[in-house]
Amino acid sequence: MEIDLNQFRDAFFQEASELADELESGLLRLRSAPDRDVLDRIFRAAHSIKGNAGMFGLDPIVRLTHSIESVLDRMREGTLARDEGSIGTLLSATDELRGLLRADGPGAAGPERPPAVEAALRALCRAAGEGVSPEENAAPTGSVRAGAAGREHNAATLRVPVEKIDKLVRLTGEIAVAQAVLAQASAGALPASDREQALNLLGAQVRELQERVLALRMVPVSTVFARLPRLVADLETATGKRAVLELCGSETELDRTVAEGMADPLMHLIRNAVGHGVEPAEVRKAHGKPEAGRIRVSARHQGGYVVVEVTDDGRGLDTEQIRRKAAQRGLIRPQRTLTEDQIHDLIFLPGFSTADEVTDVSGRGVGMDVVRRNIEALGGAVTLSSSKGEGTTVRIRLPLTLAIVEGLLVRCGESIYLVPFSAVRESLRVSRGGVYGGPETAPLLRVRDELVPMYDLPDLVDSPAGDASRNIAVVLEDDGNRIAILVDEVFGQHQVVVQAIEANYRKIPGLLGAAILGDGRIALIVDPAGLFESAQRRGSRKENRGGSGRE
Amino acid sequence: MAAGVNEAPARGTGYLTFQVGAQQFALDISKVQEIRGYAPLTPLPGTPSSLPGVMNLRGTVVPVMDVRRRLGMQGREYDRFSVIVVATKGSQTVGLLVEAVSDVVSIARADANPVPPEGGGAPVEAVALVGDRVLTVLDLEKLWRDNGDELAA
Amino acid sequence: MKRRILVVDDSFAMRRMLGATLEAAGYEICQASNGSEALAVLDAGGVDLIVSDVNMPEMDGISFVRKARSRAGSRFLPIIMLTTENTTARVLEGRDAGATGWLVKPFHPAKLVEVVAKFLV
Repeated sequence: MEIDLNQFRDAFFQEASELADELESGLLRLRSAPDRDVLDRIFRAAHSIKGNAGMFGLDPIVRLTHSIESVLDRMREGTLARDEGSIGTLLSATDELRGLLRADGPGAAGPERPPAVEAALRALCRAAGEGVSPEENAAPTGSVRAGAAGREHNAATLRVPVEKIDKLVRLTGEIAVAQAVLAQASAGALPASDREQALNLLGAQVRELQERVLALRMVPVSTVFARLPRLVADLETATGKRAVLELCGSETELDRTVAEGMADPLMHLIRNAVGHGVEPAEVRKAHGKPEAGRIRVSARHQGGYVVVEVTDDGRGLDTEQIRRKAAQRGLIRPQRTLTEDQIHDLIFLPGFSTADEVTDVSGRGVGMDVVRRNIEALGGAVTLSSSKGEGTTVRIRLPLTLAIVEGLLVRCGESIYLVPFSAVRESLRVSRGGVYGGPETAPLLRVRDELVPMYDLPDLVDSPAGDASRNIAVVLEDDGNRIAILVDEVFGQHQVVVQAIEANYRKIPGLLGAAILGDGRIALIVDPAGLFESAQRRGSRKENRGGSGRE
Repeated sequence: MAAGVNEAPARGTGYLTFQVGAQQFALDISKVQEIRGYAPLTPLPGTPSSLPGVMNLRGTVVPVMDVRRRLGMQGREYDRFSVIVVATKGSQTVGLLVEAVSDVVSIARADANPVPPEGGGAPVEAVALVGDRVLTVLDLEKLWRDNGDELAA
Repeated sequence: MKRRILVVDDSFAMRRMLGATLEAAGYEICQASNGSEALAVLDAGGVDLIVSDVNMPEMDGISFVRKARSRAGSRFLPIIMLTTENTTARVLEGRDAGATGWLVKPFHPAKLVEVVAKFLV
C-alpha cells in the first residue's frame, strides 16, 4: 500500500507559491488601504500553506507561516496596527517564505536557525500585547517526512485549464475517425476524390493537434507581471521617487519557457524606468508632469509574435550624452554621423553603462546588452524609441510557439554541442586504465561492471576531429543500447530553444537543430538516435571483440 | 527551373555590387536585407567547404556561404574585414561572405546579356556592362541550390 | 464493488495527495474544491464516505457538513473532517454539525486510511 508521497511535493510547492503570491499582492493592497476581505484572504492563505507544509513535514515552512499567521491574526483582531512597519516585516517574511519554497526541498535539511525575520514577527506579536500563540501541532511526529535528497522544485509539472484538454480529446477523436476513413479508402472502398479529401482533412487535423499540444505550454503573461508591483514598490522606497505601474494585456498567453526567460529582462527594464527614466517629484512638477511617474507594461499578440512594451513618461534618452559616452568608450568613431534611432541603439552595446546607476535591488549588475542577448536567446528581439523630456518605450518581440530541449552542454575543440537529456545516463572522467580493446576494436570504456563502446563525438557527427586527446566521456542510452562519447568539457544542464537549421538552410543529419545560447554563441543540438546509428556503422566496420574486457 | 535566366534584368532595377576575387558581382537589391561586418561562424558538420558555418543574426541561425569557394576560387582568411551580405531567398535568410561591397547601380535592359540556361552550371543570371565595369549578376537561387550539397534546400 | 470517497479541499495539492493515498488503498475517489461543488456531487449519488477540510473559503467545512446532513442522500454518510485546530470548542462544533470523525492536521495519510476503514465496512 505504501505509495511515494514525495510525488505530491511538486503540487504542494506549486500551490504554495501561488498562495505566497496572493499573500504578497494582498499585503501590497493593505499597504495603501485597509480591507477586511483582503486581510481574511491572506490569513487563510498563510494558514493553508502551514497546514499543507505540516503534512509533508516541512518544519521551517510551518514555523515561518505560523509566525506570519499570528501577526495577521492580531491585525484581524485589531490589536496590531496595519502600518508601514508591520506590512514591511510581513513582506520580508513572504520573501523568506518564497526562498524556502524555492530551496532544494527544505524537509529535514532546513536552515539551522530560524531566519531573522521570524524574530521580527515575534516582536510584532509581543508589541500587540501577547506572546505568539503556542504552536499548534508543531514538529508532528506522525506526518510525512520529506526525502533527505529533496528534489529541486523545477516546475516539472504543468497546470493546464481543463477545457484545453477537452478540446484535445475531441480532436484526437476526430483524427481517429479520419484515420478510419482513410483505411477504408486505401482498401479501395472509396473513390479517389474522397481519398484525397480524407487525406487533406487528416493533415489539417494533425497540424491542429500539434499546435494545440504546443499550446499546452502556454501561460498568461500575468505570471511574469505578478512580480512587478512589488518591484516598483521596493524601487520607490529605494529611490525616493514615486511611480505608478499600469499593466495591460495580462491574459496574453505565451510559451512558459519564454515567459520565464523574459522575467529578468523585464524587471531590469522596470528598474531602468524608475531609476533612470522617472524624474524626482519636484523636477516633474516643475515640468508640468504629475508627481508620480507613469510606467505602463503591456502585452499583446501581433502576427505570430507576442509584443511586450514598457513605456515610461520620464525624462527620455539624452541623445547627446549617449553619443558622447559611446565615443568616450571607443564604441563609435566620433565623426560618424548617426540617426537618432541609431544612437539610441548604442545603449545595447556591451560596455555601455549609464552613469548614476541606481543600486540594483538584488545586487546584480545587468546591462541592456544582457537584456538583448537574453531576449535573443529566446528567439526574440528588443528595440526602443525615446523622446527627450517625454519618455521611453522599450519594445520586446517574442515568438509565440517554441520547441524546447533540455540537455547537457558540452564542448569539443571550438564547437559546442547540446546532448538531449533523454539520452544521457552519466558522465565520467576517462583514465587510461579504464579503457580496453586493441587496435582492431572500438575502444571500450569501463563503466562500473559494464563495457561501453567509446567514440569521439566530432567523429560521430562527421566533423573534423581536431585534437583527439579527450578525457571526459558522456554515457548515452537508446533503447537498451549504450555508447560513450568523448568530449573536452562538460558545461552542465541547459535548456534551449530549438532552431531548425532547415529553416534557412537544410537538415543536417545527426543534428536536431541549433540553438542560440545566452552569450550569443551557437550550440549544435545532437540527435541521439543519429549518434547511435553512426556508432553502429563504425562498429560494423571493425570487428568487435566483445565484452569480457581484457584485450 | 531558375526564374529569369532568359530575361534581362528589368529596366532600371537597383543592384548591389560587390567584389569577390578580381571580379565584380551584382545582386538584385530587393533581395538584400542588410550588410554586416564580421560575425563569428559556427561550422556545421557534413557541409561543403563553401559553407564555413552559420551565424547568429539577432537571434536567428543563418547559413553563410563563402562565395569565393563557391565560384571555384581559392578561399581566403575570414577576418574582421570580411563582409557578409544578408539576403532573402524566398522565405529563407542567407548570408554571402564577400570581400568588399561597392555601390548600388541601375542596370538597363539594353546593357545586360542574359546567360542561356544551358550555359554551364554557373549561378549567373546575366552579365552586364555598366560604364566601364563588367558586372556578373548572380542567380541567388542557383547559387544556393547547387552548392555541392546532396540535399537541395 | 469499490467504495466511493468524496474528497473536499480547496487545496489542489491536498486533494491529489489524499486522493492518491485512498486510491492506493483500494477506494474509488471523486473530488470537489469547495462546498457547493461537493453538494452537487452528493446529489448525483454514489458516494459512500466524505473526507472534508474545514478551512475553506466561501462555505467552510462546518457549514458544508450541516448542509450535507440536511440532504436525504447524505444524512447518515460517514463524514471525516480535516482541520488544523484541535480545541475542544471546535471539535464539539463539528460534532454538533454532524461530523462522524475528526483528524487533526498534520497527520500521516496512512492514518486517514485507518480511520476510513473503520467507517466503511
